[in-house]
Amino acid sequence: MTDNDLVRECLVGRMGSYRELMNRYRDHAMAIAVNILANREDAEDACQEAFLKAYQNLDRFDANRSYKNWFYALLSNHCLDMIRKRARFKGFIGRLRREEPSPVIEPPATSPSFEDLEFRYLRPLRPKERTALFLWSQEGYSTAEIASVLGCSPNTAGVHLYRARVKLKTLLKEKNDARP
Amino acid sequence: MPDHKSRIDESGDDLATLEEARRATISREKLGGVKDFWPEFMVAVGEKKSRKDVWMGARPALKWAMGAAGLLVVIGGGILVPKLLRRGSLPAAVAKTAVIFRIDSVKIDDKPAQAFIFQTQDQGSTFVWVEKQL
Repeated sequence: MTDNDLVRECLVGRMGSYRELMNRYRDHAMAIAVNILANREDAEDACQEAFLKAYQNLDRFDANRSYKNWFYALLSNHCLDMIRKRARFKGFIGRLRREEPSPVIEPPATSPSFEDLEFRYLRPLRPKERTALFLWSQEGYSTAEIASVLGCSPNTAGVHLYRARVKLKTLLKEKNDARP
Repeated sequence: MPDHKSRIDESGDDLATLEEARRATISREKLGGVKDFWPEFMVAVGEKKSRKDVWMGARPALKWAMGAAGLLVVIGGGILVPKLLRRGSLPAAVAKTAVIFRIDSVKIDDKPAQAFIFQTQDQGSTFVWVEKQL
């Protein structure tokens, strides 16, 4: 049964069909969210919310489109939105802290965690660059397909991918140079 | 496409290769076990449906009453109680244990919004962060 068949069944109230769709895209969703957010817990939250949002908007899905790309677009937008909100909130708290100076307690120096190491090449990249790099390298997407997920022109998607590859190369070179 | 991009050779040393990009990103295989989102999804769908049913099933007069009650709780919680506390007119036992701030519902552009309440270390400050629903 195709994705679009399952969507049609969901729209007539067969919840089991949505479960099947979730099972098909659970791993894909988590992979894309982890790569954009560079954090596993946030990625789980994003997937949970995106599956609900997709279900609530199934009637707006254009059956001529690929469900996978539609869902990826919805999920990546959701992740980018989470990053923007987090940045706004951090900015707000930062402003408050500047207004009310308090003693700064430096966290103790620790060795990088497993998560720091896992995401060491992704975190320096911008979220859209991470998305483009992931879709290109792990999903085999062309710039046109990346553009349909990011909601931009293929040229802009190409620039995101290009910048991601340049930054990654620089990081890899730095790592090699740092080796004794 | 910017000029600087076209000046760099696709096969040059300046761009990470497909293989390097694959190693730097997290693949589905690297993820390991992924949690089942279904149980929480069903709870969320059920909650949204029941909230909607209660609201849609209510008569217009009842809707007004529910809305007004919610507003009163916000006004009461957000303005009156702190005022009384400042004046010291709440009994000490109540002042110590009272839930000072409560928000039942918040709307932005007439759509339900999310509210987060942050109690700072300063007892006199509480931040309410309101965001549009995704």
